[in-house]
Amino acid sequence: MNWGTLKARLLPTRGERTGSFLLPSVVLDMQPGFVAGARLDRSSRQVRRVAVRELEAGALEPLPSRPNLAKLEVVRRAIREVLQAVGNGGGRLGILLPDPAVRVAILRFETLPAHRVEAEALVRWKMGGLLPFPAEEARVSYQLLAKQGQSVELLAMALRNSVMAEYEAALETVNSAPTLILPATAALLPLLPAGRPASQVLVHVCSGSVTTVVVVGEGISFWRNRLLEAHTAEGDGEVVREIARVVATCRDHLKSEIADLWICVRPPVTRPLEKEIGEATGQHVQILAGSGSHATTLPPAEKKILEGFGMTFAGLLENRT
Amino acid sequence: MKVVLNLAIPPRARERYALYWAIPATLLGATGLVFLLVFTLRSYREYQAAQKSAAEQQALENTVHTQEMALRRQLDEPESRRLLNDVQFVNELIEARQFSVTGLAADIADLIPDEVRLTGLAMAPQGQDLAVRFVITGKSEVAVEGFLSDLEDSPHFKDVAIINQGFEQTGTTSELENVPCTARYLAGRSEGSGE
Repeated sequence: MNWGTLKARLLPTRGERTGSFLLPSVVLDMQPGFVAGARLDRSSRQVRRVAVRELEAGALEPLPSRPNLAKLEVVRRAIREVLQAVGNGGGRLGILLPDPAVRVAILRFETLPAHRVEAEALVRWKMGGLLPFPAEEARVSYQLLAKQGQSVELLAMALRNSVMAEYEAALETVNSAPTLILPATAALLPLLPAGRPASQVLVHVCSGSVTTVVVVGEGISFWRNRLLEAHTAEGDGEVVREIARVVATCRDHLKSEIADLWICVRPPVTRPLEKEIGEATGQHVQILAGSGSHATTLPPAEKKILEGFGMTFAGLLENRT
Repeated sequence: MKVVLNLAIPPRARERYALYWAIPATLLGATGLVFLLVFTLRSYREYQAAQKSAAEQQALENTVHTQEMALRRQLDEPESRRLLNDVQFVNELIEARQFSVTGLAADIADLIPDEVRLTGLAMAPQGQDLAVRFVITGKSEVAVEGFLSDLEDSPHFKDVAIINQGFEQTGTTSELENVPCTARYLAGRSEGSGE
């Protein structure tokens, strides 16, 4: 063993290796139009406090490879106010990022190395072709979806380190690094009913972007995120067209019939989209909502905030790993 | 659907257990610091003692040097110089006083047989030695020759020489009278040189 190897083992560089899911005690959901925060009781799986602050337009512009926080002070102020409202708890902090800031892909391999480092290197290499920045600058996390014979299917995510550093820099009042970082849509996935063999489509419309996920059983077969030209969900029918396109893709390419279509729109819209989407796709559209069991101790005002902005928090509490 | 993804980088063990290690590390550091302080204090005291001893030695050396200089000055004074000259003179006298007439007489007396008599004795310095002139009278030539032979063999005398020899008849026996001879007297040197 030479000196370089020994040094690399004893003094590893700032780790590129991501961890696995951990339920934090405080979660911040940072989206272009708002910053929401919640304090979670991990033992009783309850949302103890929830708060939200709106962000002015242009303060946060989610992009995978460019600076996201155009108005850092505005974002900081919103984070500060949210944390003051919910209390930072001094424990684990989780951050939910805007979907456009994170690249998500479904990757298929013939085989995956058993050694985690080698597997991660392979995933990073494969993600490299999908990233608008060098793969070496990304932190990568992946989850095994299916393993059948000569095929391994993974759900992989990549986030540019410099982008994450921006968000971490906005957390001026938090001393420790975040213990959980996910795109917001990933936090909604546990809210989908489990054990259904047919396809379910999750549509997450949030502050100028729409993310569509097709879930089959316990796996994901499709993930797509698209920035909207209009920053509001009502827009000019762009959301409806995007969902119709995804449903058609699901039928034509994935050869899968959709059983359920769930939608979560944040911030809440004044004109419901379910009817329009239902007419465009021919599907029965359901509003994604938690069981409500996570908000039994919340005051009515905060319960309303949770329903309008905080479904992601409910999803995290629902995620029993 | 369960999510096990997480883009957060977990803290390394070193960061995670930093607080746990902080207390023993602090204690270890404090112990080391105390040890260093004690060691430093002890070394400082030893240094001070050594410095004090060195200062004392230096002071003593200065005192001795001062005394030496004072003595030298004192020796350089006319009175002391005169005393030194006197002492040197006395020492020279003592050095010169290696010759003793009594010793010479005793040395000669040991050599003179019964038949020979010393009738004259004179001495004069010759370099570091002393030239002795004997005048002897013997009853027979054999007696005189025996004396001269003993004189030559004596470690106290050297370079024995007869100046003049003659016989005079006195009465019925022939008697050798007034035989002058010289020799160098090695007073006090003959024993040391082994001669």
